[in-house]
Amino acid sequence: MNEVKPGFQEELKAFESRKAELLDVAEGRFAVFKGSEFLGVFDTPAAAYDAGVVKYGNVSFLLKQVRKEERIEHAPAIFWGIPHACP
Amino acid sequence: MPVHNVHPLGNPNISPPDLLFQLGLLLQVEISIPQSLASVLTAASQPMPPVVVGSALVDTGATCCCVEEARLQQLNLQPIGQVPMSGAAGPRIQNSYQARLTFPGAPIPPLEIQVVWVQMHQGQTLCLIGRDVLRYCVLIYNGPQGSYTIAF
Repeated sequence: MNEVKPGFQEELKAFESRKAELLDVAEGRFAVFKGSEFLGVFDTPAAAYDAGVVKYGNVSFLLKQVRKEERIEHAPAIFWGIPHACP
Repeated sequence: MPVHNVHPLGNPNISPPDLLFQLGLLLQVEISIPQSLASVLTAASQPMPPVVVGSALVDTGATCCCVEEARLQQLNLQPIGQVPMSGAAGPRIQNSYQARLTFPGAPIPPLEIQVVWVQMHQGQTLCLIGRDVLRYCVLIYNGPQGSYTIAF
């Protein structure tokens, strides 16, 4: 698996500090943070990304869905080996 | 709802059902930067990264779309999050990126979605199409005929 690139500590801290408030008003929507700066919440991840890129440019920023619990993703093929596939 | 019937092509010595069995549900995919980022680069007179072309494997076992990191670094995308993914030794964190996926010849419209970058190590698969996309599709695997149908 690839190495996790550094970053998001400050953004995640800012997200956690606002999480309760965001859950009250924007659960299920998508929040954008850059450093400790909160850009806003958006209805779709695409809208959130577009807003972040327009504001910050092609740099790393955090786009995170406002939800009570983190969702764990699954892709067993990645961990157990991609099936042979040739086009 | 547009319908796309896929009859895998490859070795003519293999029957269609066996070919589908061997290849799985493959789609051609083009991965590029999101349009909003393209606009930002254009406005700044910066070069546009080339589109990455390859095969996408429809994977009903995956909850999210995953893309091969090695071939996509040329897009110069920046991470927008970190996603916990289950693994043999428990969840681990992977970076996620916003990317634009198009499927030439298929009815699936261009998608701008969050994808998880991974190392697939082998094969020519560029991308896994997970259930985050399939939730909008009708998918029929016709094993006896050696084809599959996807409608979006």
